[in-house]
Amino acid sequence: MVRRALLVAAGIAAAGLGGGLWLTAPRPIEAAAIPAGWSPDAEARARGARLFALGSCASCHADPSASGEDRLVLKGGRRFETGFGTFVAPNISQDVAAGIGAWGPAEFASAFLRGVGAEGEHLYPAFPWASYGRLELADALDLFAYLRTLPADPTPSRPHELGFPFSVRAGLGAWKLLFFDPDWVVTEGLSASAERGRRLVEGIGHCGECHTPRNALGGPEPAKWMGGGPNPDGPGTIPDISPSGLGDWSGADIAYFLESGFTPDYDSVGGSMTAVVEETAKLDPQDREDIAAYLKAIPPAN
Amino acid sequence: MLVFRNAPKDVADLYREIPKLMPRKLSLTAAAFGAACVAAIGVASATEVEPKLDDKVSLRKEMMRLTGASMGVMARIAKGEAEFDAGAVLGALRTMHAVSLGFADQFPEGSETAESEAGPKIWSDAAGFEAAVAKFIADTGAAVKLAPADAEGMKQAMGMVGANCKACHTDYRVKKD
Repeated sequence: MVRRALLVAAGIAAAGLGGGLWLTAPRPIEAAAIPAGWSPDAEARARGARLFALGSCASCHADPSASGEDRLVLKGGRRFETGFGTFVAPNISQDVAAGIGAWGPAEFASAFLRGVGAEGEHLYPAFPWASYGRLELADALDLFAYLRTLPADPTPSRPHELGFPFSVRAGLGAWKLLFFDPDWVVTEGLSASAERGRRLVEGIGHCGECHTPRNALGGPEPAKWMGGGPNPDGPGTIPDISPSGLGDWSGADIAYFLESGFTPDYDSVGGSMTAVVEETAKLDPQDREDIAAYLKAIPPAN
Repeated sequence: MLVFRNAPKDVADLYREIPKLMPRKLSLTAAAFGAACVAAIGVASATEVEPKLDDKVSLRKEMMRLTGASMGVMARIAKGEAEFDAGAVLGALRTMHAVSLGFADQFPEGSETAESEAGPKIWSDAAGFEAAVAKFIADTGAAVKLAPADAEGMKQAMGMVGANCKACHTDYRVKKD
Protein backbone atom coordinates (compact mmCIF):
# COMPACT_ATOMS: atom_id res chain seq x y z
CA MET A 1 0.00 0.00 0.00
CA VAL A 2 2.73 2.37 1.04
CA ARG A 3 4.79 1.19 -1.89
CA ARG A 4 1.95 1.82 -4.30
CA ALA A 5 1.37 5.33 -2.92
CA LEU A 6 5.05 6.04 -3.36
CA LEU A 7 4.91 4.85 -6.96
CA VAL A 8 1.92 7.10 -7.66
CA ALA A 9 3.65 10.03 -6.00
CA ALA A 10 6.80 9.38 -8.02
CA GLY A 11 4.70 9.19 -11.18
CA ILE A 12 3.03 12.52 -10.41
CA ALA A 13 6.39 14.07 -9.61
CA ALA A 14 7.89 12.78 -12.84
CA ALA A 15 4.90 14.04 -14.83
CA GLY A 16 5.16 17.38 -13.02
CA LEU A 17 8.86 17.60 -13.71
CA GLY A 18 8.32 16.63 -17.33
CA GLY A 19 5.51 19.18 -17.68
CA GLY A 20 7.61 21.77 -15.91
CA LEU A 21 10.57 21.13 -18.19
CA TRP A 22 8.29 21.35 -21.21
CA LEU A 23 6.70 24.58 -19.99
CA THR A 24 10.05 26.18 -19.21
CA ALA A 25 11.98 24.90 -22.23
CA PRO A 26 13.64 27.50 -24.47
CA ARG A 27 11.46 28.49 -27.46
CA PRO A 28 13.79 29.54 -30.27
CA ILE A 29 12.60 30.97 -33.57
CA GLU A 30 12.87 28.19 -36.18
CA ALA A 31 14.84 28.78 -39.37
CA ALA A 32 11.60 28.09 -41.28
CA ALA A 33 10.11 31.32 -39.81
CA ILE A 34 12.65 33.46 -41.71
CA PRO A 35 11.01 34.65 -44.96
CA ALA A 36 12.29 32.70 -47.97
CA GLY A 37 14.87 34.61 -49.93
CA TRP A 38 15.58 37.07 -47.08
CA SER A 39 18.89 38.80 -47.59
CA PRO A 40 20.48 41.76 -45.81
CA ASP A 41 19.97 44.59 -48.33
CA ALA A 42 20.98 48.24 -47.95
CA GLU A 43 17.54 49.35 -46.77
CA ALA A 44 17.44 46.66 -44.09
CA ARG A 45 20.93 47.70 -42.97
CA ALA A 46 19.86 51.36 -42.72
CA ARG A 47 16.81 50.46 -40.61
CA GLY A 48 19.05 48.22 -38.51
CA ALA A 49 21.55 51.03 -37.95
CA ARG A 50 18.73 53.13 -36.54
CA LEU A 51 17.67 50.29 -34.20
CA PHE A 52 21.31 49.88 -33.14
CA ALA A 53 21.43 53.55 -32.13
CA LEU A 54 17.98 53.52 -30.50
CA GLY A 55 18.88 50.43 -28.46
CA SER A 56 22.26 51.94 -27.56
CA CYS A 57 23.75 48.46 -28.11
CA ALA A 58 27.29 49.84 -28.00
CA SER A 59 26.77 51.16 -24.45
CA CYS A 60 26.89 47.59 -23.14
CA HIS A 61 28.70 45.61 -25.84
CA ALA A 62 31.56 47.99 -26.76
CA ASP A 63 34.57 48.34 -24.48
CA PRO A 64 33.54 50.80 -21.72
CA SER A 65 36.49 53.06 -22.58
CA ALA A 66 35.86 53.02 -26.34
CA SER A 67 34.89 56.18 -28.21
CA GLY A 68 34.16 57.12 -31.80
CA GLU A 69 34.56 54.30 -34.34
CA ASP A 70 35.80 51.94 -31.62
CA ARG A 71 32.26 51.88 -30.20
CA LEU A 72 31.37 49.69 -33.20
CA VAL A 73 33.79 46.98 -32.01
CA LEU A 74 31.33 44.90 -29.98
CA LYS A 75 33.91 42.88 -28.07
CA GLY A 76 31.98 42.90 -24.76
CA GLY A 77 33.54 42.90 -21.32
CA ARG A 78 31.48 45.52 -19.52
CA ARG A 79 30.61 44.27 -16.03
CA PHE A 80 27.22 44.69 -14.34
CA GLU A 81 27.34 44.10 -10.61
CA THR A 82 23.87 43.15 -9.40
CA GLY A 83 22.25 41.46 -6.42
CA PHE A 84 22.37 38.17 -8.37
CA GLY A 85 26.07 38.34 -9.15
CA THR A 86 28.13 39.97 -11.88
CA PHE A 87 26.99 39.81 -15.49
CA VAL A 88 29.64 40.34 -18.15
CA ALA A 89 28.50 41.61 -21.55
CA PRO A 90 29.55 39.07 -24.21
CA ASN A 91 31.38 39.57 -27.50
CA ILE A 92 28.69 40.07 -30.20
CA SER A 93 31.15 41.17 -32.89
CA GLN A 94 31.32 39.34 -36.23
CA ASP A 95 34.17 37.07 -35.13
CA VAL A 96 33.16 33.52 -36.07
CA ALA A 97 34.62 31.93 -32.94
CA ALA A 98 34.48 34.65 -30.25
CA GLY A 99 31.44 36.57 -31.48
CA ILE A 100 28.25 35.87 -33.44
CA GLY A 101 29.81 35.79 -36.91
CA ALA A 102 28.63 32.21 -37.43
CA TRP A 103 25.00 32.98 -36.52
CA GLY A 104 22.22 32.94 -39.07
CA PRO A 105 19.14 35.17 -38.92
CA ALA A 106 17.11 32.61 -36.92
CA GLU A 107 19.79 32.35 -34.23
CA PHE A 108 19.95 36.11 -33.93
CA ALA A 109 16.15 36.54 -33.86
CA SER A 110 15.90 33.83 -31.16
CA ALA A 111 18.36 35.69 -28.95
CA PHE A 112 16.93 39.15 -29.64
CA LEU A 113 13.20 38.38 -29.39
CA ARG A 114 13.04 35.26 -27.19
CA GLY A 115 16.19 35.27 -25.04
CA VAL A 116 17.43 31.96 -26.46
CA GLY A 117 21.12 31.54 -27.36
CA ALA A 118 22.61 29.70 -30.33
CA GLU A 119 23.11 26.53 -28.25
CA GLY A 120 19.40 26.56 -27.39
CA GLU A 121 20.12 27.86 -23.89
CA HIS A 122 18.15 30.51 -22.00
CA LEU A 123 19.86 33.92 -21.91
CA TYR A 124 19.84 36.01 -18.74
CA PRO A 125 17.50 39.02 -18.88
CA ALA A 126 20.48 41.32 -18.17
CA PHE A 127 20.41 41.29 -22.00
CA PRO A 128 17.09 43.13 -22.44
CA TRP A 129 15.37 40.63 -24.75
CA ALA A 130 12.30 40.98 -22.50
CA SER A 131 11.88 44.48 -24.02
CA TYR A 132 13.05 43.59 -27.54
CA GLY A 133 10.53 40.73 -27.52
CA ARG A 134 7.81 43.36 -28.06
CA LEU A 135 9.24 44.09 -31.51
CA GLU A 136 8.68 42.17 -34.78
CA LEU A 137 10.74 39.51 -36.52
CA ALA A 138 11.39 42.07 -39.30
CA ASP A 139 13.08 44.36 -36.75
CA ALA A 140 15.36 41.55 -35.59
CA LEU A 141 16.34 40.83 -39.20
CA ASP A 142 17.07 44.52 -39.87
CA LEU A 143 19.33 44.72 -36.84
CA PHE A 144 21.02 41.46 -37.82
CA ALA A 145 21.67 42.88 -41.30
CA TYR A 146 23.37 45.92 -39.78
CA LEU A 147 25.44 43.94 -37.26
CA ARG A 148 26.83 41.94 -40.19
CA THR A 149 28.55 45.15 -41.41
CA LEU A 150 30.48 45.67 -38.14
CA PRO A 151 34.04 44.49 -37.43
CA ALA A 152 35.11 41.15 -35.94
CA ASP A 153 37.11 41.04 -32.71
CA PRO A 154 38.72 37.83 -31.35
CA THR A 155 38.46 38.71 -27.61
CA PRO A 156 36.73 35.74 -25.96
CA SER A 157 33.55 36.38 -23.95
CA ARG A 158 34.00 35.96 -20.24
CA PRO A 159 31.51 33.93 -18.19
CA HIS A 160 29.04 35.60 -15.85
CA GLU A 161 29.99 35.36 -12.17
CA LEU A 162 26.75 34.22 -10.54
CA GLY A 163 26.10 32.25 -7.37
CA PHE A 164 23.76 29.27 -7.04
CA PRO A 165 20.83 29.08 -7.86
CA PHE A 166 21.11 31.95 -10.36
CA SER A 167 23.96 30.12 -12.12
CA VAL A 168 21.46 27.47 -13.33
CA ARG A 169 20.11 28.65 -16.67
CA ALA A 170 17.19 26.20 -16.62
CA GLY A 171 15.64 28.36 -13.88
CA LEU A 172 15.32 31.16 -16.42
CA GLY A 173 12.52 29.18 -18.06
CA ALA A 174 10.44 29.70 -14.93
CA TRP A 175 11.43 33.37 -14.95
CA LYS A 176 10.11 33.67 -18.50
CA LEU A 177 6.82 31.99 -17.54
CA LEU A 178 6.37 34.39 -14.66
CA PHE A 179 7.64 37.66 -16.09
CA PHE A 180 8.15 37.64 -19.87
CA ASP A 181 5.22 39.41 -21.51
CA PRO A 182 5.87 40.38 -25.13
CA ASP A 183 2.66 42.45 -25.31
CA TRP A 184 2.71 46.24 -24.92
CA VAL A 185 2.53 47.38 -21.30
CA VAL A 186 0.44 50.52 -21.81
CA THR A 187 -2.52 49.94 -24.12
CA GLU A 188 -4.93 52.78 -23.37
CA GLY A 189 -5.04 56.54 -23.73
CA LEU A 190 -2.22 56.87 -26.27
CA SER A 191 -2.23 59.38 -29.15
CA ALA A 192 -0.64 58.40 -32.47
CA SER A 193 2.56 60.15 -31.35
CA ALA A 194 2.52 58.37 -27.96
CA GLU A 195 2.04 55.03 -29.74
CA ARG A 196 5.15 55.66 -31.83
CA GLY A 197 6.90 56.62 -28.60
CA ARG A 198 5.76 53.35 -27.00
CA ARG A 199 7.63 51.34 -29.62
CA LEU A 200 10.78 53.29 -28.78
CA VAL A 201 10.38 53.26 -24.97
CA GLU A 202 8.88 49.81 -24.27
CA GLY A 203 10.69 48.10 -27.16
CA ILE A 204 14.06 48.96 -28.65
CA GLY A 205 14.93 51.71 -26.14
CA HIS A 206 14.32 49.23 -23.28
CA CYS A 207 13.83 52.14 -20.85
CA GLY A 208 11.77 49.97 -18.48
CA GLU A 209 14.77 47.71 -17.79
CA CYS A 210 16.22 50.34 -15.45
CA HIS A 211 13.29 52.69 -14.82
CA THR A 212 10.78 50.00 -13.72
CA PRO A 213 11.46 48.51 -10.28
CA ARG A 214 12.04 44.77 -9.94
CA ASN A 215 10.92 42.22 -7.35
CA ALA A 216 13.18 39.83 -5.41
CA LEU A 217 13.41 37.49 -8.43
CA GLY A 218 14.41 40.30 -10.75
CA GLY A 219 11.01 40.38 -12.43
CA PRO A 220 9.66 43.80 -13.44
CA GLU A 221 6.65 45.13 -11.49
CA PRO A 222 4.21 46.21 -14.22
CA ALA A 223 2.01 48.07 -11.69
CA LYS A 224 4.95 50.42 -11.12
CA TRP A 225 5.85 50.82 -14.80
CA MET A 226 8.58 53.49 -15.15
CA GLY A 227 8.28 54.18 -11.40
CA GLY A 228 12.03 54.09 -10.69
CA GLY A 229 13.68 52.57 -7.64
CA PRO A 230 17.05 51.38 -6.37
CA ASN A 231 19.80 51.25 -9.01
CA PRO A 232 20.11 47.54 -9.98
CA ASP A 233 23.85 47.71 -10.71
CA GLY A 234 25.32 50.28 -8.35
CA PRO A 235 24.62 52.82 -5.63
CA GLY A 236 21.88 55.45 -5.74
CA THR A 237 18.43 55.40 -7.31
CA ILE A 238 16.88 55.38 -10.75
CA PRO A 239 14.29 58.16 -11.10
CA ASP A 240 10.55 57.75 -11.58
CA ILE A 241 9.88 58.94 -15.15
CA SER A 242 6.12 58.30 -15.09
CA PRO A 243 3.89 61.36 -14.52
CA SER A 244 4.28 60.90 -10.74
CA GLY A 245 8.00 61.55 -11.13
CA LEU A 246 8.18 64.00 -14.05
CA GLY A 247 5.05 65.82 -12.80
CA ASP A 248 5.81 69.38 -13.85
CA TRP A 249 8.00 68.61 -16.89
CA SER A 250 6.27 69.56 -20.16
CA GLY A 251 6.59 67.38 -23.23
CA ALA A 252 9.04 69.96 -24.58
CA ASP A 253 11.10 69.68 -21.37
CA ILE A 254 11.39 65.89 -21.81
CA ALA A 255 12.34 66.24 -25.47
CA TYR A 256 14.93 68.92 -24.61
CA PHE A 257 16.45 66.69 -21.91
CA LEU A 258 16.82 63.84 -24.42
CA GLU A 259 18.48 66.26 -26.85
CA SER A 260 20.73 68.33 -24.57
CA GLY A 261 21.02 66.38 -21.30
CA PHE A 262 19.67 69.33 -19.32
CA THR A 263 16.70 69.13 -16.95
CA PRO A 264 14.20 72.02 -16.70
CA ASP A 265 16.30 73.53 -13.88
CA TYR A 266 19.48 73.01 -15.94
CA ASP A 267 20.92 70.27 -13.81
CA SER A 268 22.72 67.90 -16.20
CA VAL A 269 22.30 64.25 -17.03
CA GLY A 270 24.67 61.89 -15.21
CA GLY A 271 25.44 58.28 -14.37
CA SER A 272 24.57 55.61 -16.91
CA MET A 273 21.95 57.93 -18.48
CA THR A 274 24.72 60.05 -20.06
CA ALA A 275 25.43 57.34 -22.63
CA VAL A 276 21.70 57.05 -23.37
CA VAL A 277 21.37 60.79 -24.04
CA GLU A 278 24.39 60.64 -26.38
CA GLU A 279 22.23 58.38 -28.55
CA THR A 280 18.86 60.15 -28.10
CA ALA A 281 20.59 63.42 -29.07
CA LYS A 282 21.13 61.94 -32.56
CA LEU A 283 17.46 61.02 -33.13
CA ASP A 284 14.99 62.94 -35.28
CA PRO A 285 13.25 65.63 -33.20
CA GLN A 286 9.98 63.80 -33.92
CA ASP A 287 11.30 60.67 -32.13
CA ARG A 288 12.08 62.67 -28.99
CA GLU A 289 8.62 64.29 -29.15
CA ASP A 290 7.04 60.82 -29.48
CA ILE A 291 8.95 59.52 -26.45
CA ALA A 292 7.82 62.58 -24.49
CA ALA A 293 4.19 62.09 -25.59
CA TYR A 294 4.31 58.48 -24.39
CA LEU A 295 5.87 59.33 -21.01
CA LYS A 296 3.24 62.05 -20.44
CA ALA A 297 0.42 59.61 -21.27
CA ILE A 298 1.28 56.58 -19.09
CA PRO A 299 -0.33 56.10 -15.64
CA PRO A 300 1.49 57.57 -12.62
CA ALA A 301 3.51 54.79 -10.96
CA ASN A 302 3.86 56.20 -7.45
CA MET B 1 27.04 79.57 13.23
CA LEU B 2 28.31 81.53 10.26
CA VAL B 3 25.60 82.10 7.72
CA PHE B 4 25.65 84.25 4.60
CA ARG B 5 23.45 87.21 5.51
CA ASN B 6 21.94 89.51 2.89
CA ALA B 7 23.95 87.69 0.26
CA PRO B 8 22.20 87.29 -3.09
CA LYS B 9 20.47 83.90 -2.95
CA ASP B 10 20.95 83.27 -6.62
CA VAL B 11 21.63 84.80 -10.00
CA ALA B 12 18.09 86.20 -10.05
CA ASP B 13 18.90 88.43 -7.06
CA LEU B 14 22.05 89.66 -8.79
CA TYR B 15 20.05 90.71 -11.82
CA ARG B 16 17.59 92.57 -9.59
CA GLU B 17 20.54 94.65 -8.36
CA ILE B 18 21.83 95.54 -11.83
CA PRO B 19 19.34 98.36 -12.61
CA LYS B 20 20.41 100.34 -9.50
CA LEU B 21 23.94 100.57 -10.86
CA MET B 22 23.12 101.79 -14.37
CA PRO B 23 21.96 104.92 -16.23
CA ARG B 24 18.19 105.01 -16.73
CA LYS B 25 17.91 104.00 -20.41
CA LEU B 26 20.24 101.10 -19.97
CA SER B 27 18.56 100.17 -16.74
CA LEU B 28 15.17 99.79 -18.47
CA THR B 29 16.68 97.19 -20.80
CA ALA B 30 18.47 95.57 -17.93
CA ALA B 31 15.31 95.57 -15.83
CA ALA B 32 13.39 93.85 -18.62
CA PHE B 33 16.19 91.34 -19.02
CA GLY B 34 16.43 90.90 -15.26
CA ALA B 35 12.72 90.19 -15.08
CA ALA B 36 13.10 87.58 -17.81
CA CYS B 37 15.95 85.99 -15.89
CA VAL B 38 13.98 86.00 -12.64
CA ALA B 39 11.19 84.20 -14.46
CA ALA B 40 13.71 81.89 -16.12
CA ILE B 41 15.37 80.97 -12.85
CA GLY B 42 12.12 80.56 -10.92
CA VAL B 43 12.09 76.81 -11.45
CA ALA B 44 15.70 76.44 -10.37
CA SER B 45 14.97 78.23 -7.11
CA ALA B 46 12.50 75.56 -6.07
CA THR B 47 15.17 73.35 -4.51
CA GLU B 48 17.05 76.21 -2.86
CA VAL B 49 19.04 75.40 0.27
CA GLU B 50 20.35 77.96 2.74
CA PRO B 51 24.14 77.96 2.24
CA LYS B 52 26.08 77.82 5.50
CA LEU B 53 29.81 78.59 5.71
CA ASP B 54 30.48 75.73 8.12
CA ASP B 55 28.60 73.18 6.01
CA LYS B 56 30.42 72.32 2.81
CA VAL B 57 27.62 70.06 1.60
CA SER B 58 25.28 73.06 1.54
CA LEU B 59 27.95 75.23 -0.11
CA ARG B 60 28.71 72.81 -2.94
CA LYS B 61 25.00 72.22 -3.54
CA GLU B 62 24.47 75.97 -3.85
CA MET B 63 27.49 76.26 -6.16
CA MET B 64 25.99 73.62 -8.45
CA ARG B 65 22.57 75.25 -8.35
CA LEU B 66 24.08 78.61 -9.38
CA THR B 67 25.99 76.86 -12.17
CA GLY B 68 22.72 75.35 -13.40
CA ALA B 69 20.97 78.72 -13.18
CA SER B 70 23.79 80.26 -15.25
CA MET B 71 23.47 77.52 -17.84
CA GLY B 72 19.74 78.26 -17.86
CA VAL B 73 20.37 81.92 -18.80
CA MET B 74 22.21 80.75 -21.93
CA ALA B 75 19.97 77.78 -22.70
CA ARG B 76 16.91 80.02 -22.84
CA ILE B 77 18.67 82.21 -25.39
CA ALA B 78 19.74 79.11 -27.35
CA LYS B 79 16.13 77.86 -27.38
CA GLY B 80 14.88 81.25 -28.63
CA GLU B 81 12.99 81.98 -25.43
CA ALA B 82 15.13 85.04 -24.63
CA GLU B 83 17.08 87.63 -26.66
CA PHE B 84 20.87 87.31 -26.84
CA ASP B 85 22.48 89.68 -24.34
CA ALA B 86 26.30 89.74 -24.34
CA GLY B 87 26.53 91.10 -20.78
CA ALA B 88 24.17 88.51 -19.34
CA VAL B 89 25.98 85.68 -21.12
CA LEU B 90 29.37 86.88 -19.93
CA GLY B 91 27.98 87.19 -16.40
CA ALA B 92 26.71 83.62 -16.56
CA LEU B 93 30.08 82.33 -17.78
CA ARG B 94 31.91 84.28 -15.07
CA THR B 95 29.61 82.78 -12.43
CA MET B 96 30.50 79.29 -13.66
CA HIS B 97 34.20 80.10 -13.72
CA ALA B 98 34.03 81.51 -10.17
CA VAL B 99 32.29 78.34 -8.99
CA SER B 100 34.93 76.18 -10.68
CA LEU B 101 37.80 77.94 -8.84
CA GLY B 102 36.53 77.00 -5.39
CA PHE B 103 34.75 73.75 -6.18
CA ALA B 104 37.41 71.15 -5.34
CA ASP B 105 37.71 72.52 -1.79
CA GLN B 106 34.12 71.61 -0.93
CA PHE B 107 34.65 67.83 -0.70
CA PRO B 108 36.52 67.02 2.53
CA GLU B 109 36.82 63.35 3.55
CA GLY B 110 33.73 62.21 5.40
CA SER B 111 31.33 64.62 3.70
CA GLU B 112 29.54 61.77 1.96
CA THR B 113 26.26 62.34 3.80
CA ALA B 114 22.85 60.78 3.29
CA GLU B 115 21.42 63.77 1.45
CA SER B 116 24.56 64.51 -0.59
CA GLU B 117 24.73 63.11 -4.11
CA ALA B 118 28.53 63.29 -4.17
CA GLY B 119 29.66 59.89 -5.46
CA PRO B 120 32.21 57.66 -3.67
CA LYS B 121 34.63 57.98 -6.63
CA ILE B 122 35.34 61.59 -5.60
CA TRP B 123 37.46 60.12 -2.78
CA SER B 124 38.41 56.71 -4.18
CA ASP B 125 39.58 58.34 -7.46
CA ALA B 126 40.72 61.68 -6.05
CA ALA B 127 43.22 62.28 -8.87
CA GLY B 128 40.50 61.76 -11.49
CA PHE B 129 38.14 64.11 -9.68
CA GLU B 130 40.83 66.80 -9.36
CA ALA B 131 41.60 66.47 -13.07
CA ALA B 132 37.89 66.86 -13.85
CA VAL B 133 37.69 70.04 -11.75
CA ALA B 134 40.90 71.35 -13.37
CA LYS B 135 39.24 70.88 -16.76
CA PHE B 136 36.12 72.67 -15.48
CA ILE B 137 38.36 75.62 -14.43
CA ALA B 138 40.22 75.65 -17.76
CA ASP B 139 37.10 75.38 -19.94
CA THR B 140 35.05 77.99 -18.07
CA GLY B 141 38.10 80.29 -18.12
CA ALA B 142 38.43 79.83 -21.88
CA ALA B 143 34.70 80.49 -22.32
CA VAL B 144 35.00 83.76 -20.36
CA LYS B 145 37.92 84.83 -22.60
CA LEU B 146 35.80 83.97 -25.63
CA ALA B 147 33.28 86.64 -24.46
CA PRO B 148 30.61 85.55 -26.99
CA ALA B 149 29.34 88.39 -29.17
CA ASP B 150 26.37 86.52 -30.64
CA ALA B 151 24.19 83.47 -30.11
CA GLU B 152 26.48 81.27 -32.22
CA GLY B 153 29.51 82.16 -30.13
CA MET B 154 27.44 81.53 -27.01
CA LYS B 155 26.50 78.04 -28.21
CA GLN B 156 30.18 77.29 -28.72
CA ALA B 157 30.89 78.42 -25.16
CA MET B 158 27.95 76.34 -23.88
CA GLY B 159 29.39 73.27 -25.58
CA MET B 160 32.77 73.88 -23.95
CA VAL B 161 31.41 74.22 -20.43
CA GLY B 162 28.40 71.87 -20.78
CA ALA B 163 30.57 68.85 -21.56
CA ASN B 164 32.06 69.24 -18.07
CA CYS B 165 28.63 68.98 -16.40
CA LYS B 166 27.93 65.61 -18.05
CA ALA B 167 31.42 64.17 -17.72
CA CYS B 168 31.64 64.86 -14.00
CA HIS B 169 28.05 63.83 -13.25
CA THR B 170 28.59 60.56 -15.09
CA ASP B 171 31.47 59.45 -12.89
CA TYR B 172 31.29 61.42 -9.66
CA ARG B 173 27.61 61.89 -8.85
CA VAL B 174 25.10 59.36 -7.55
CA LYS B 175 21.46 60.32 -8.02
CA LYS B 176 19.36 59.83 -4.91
CA ASP B 177 15.91 61.23 -5.72
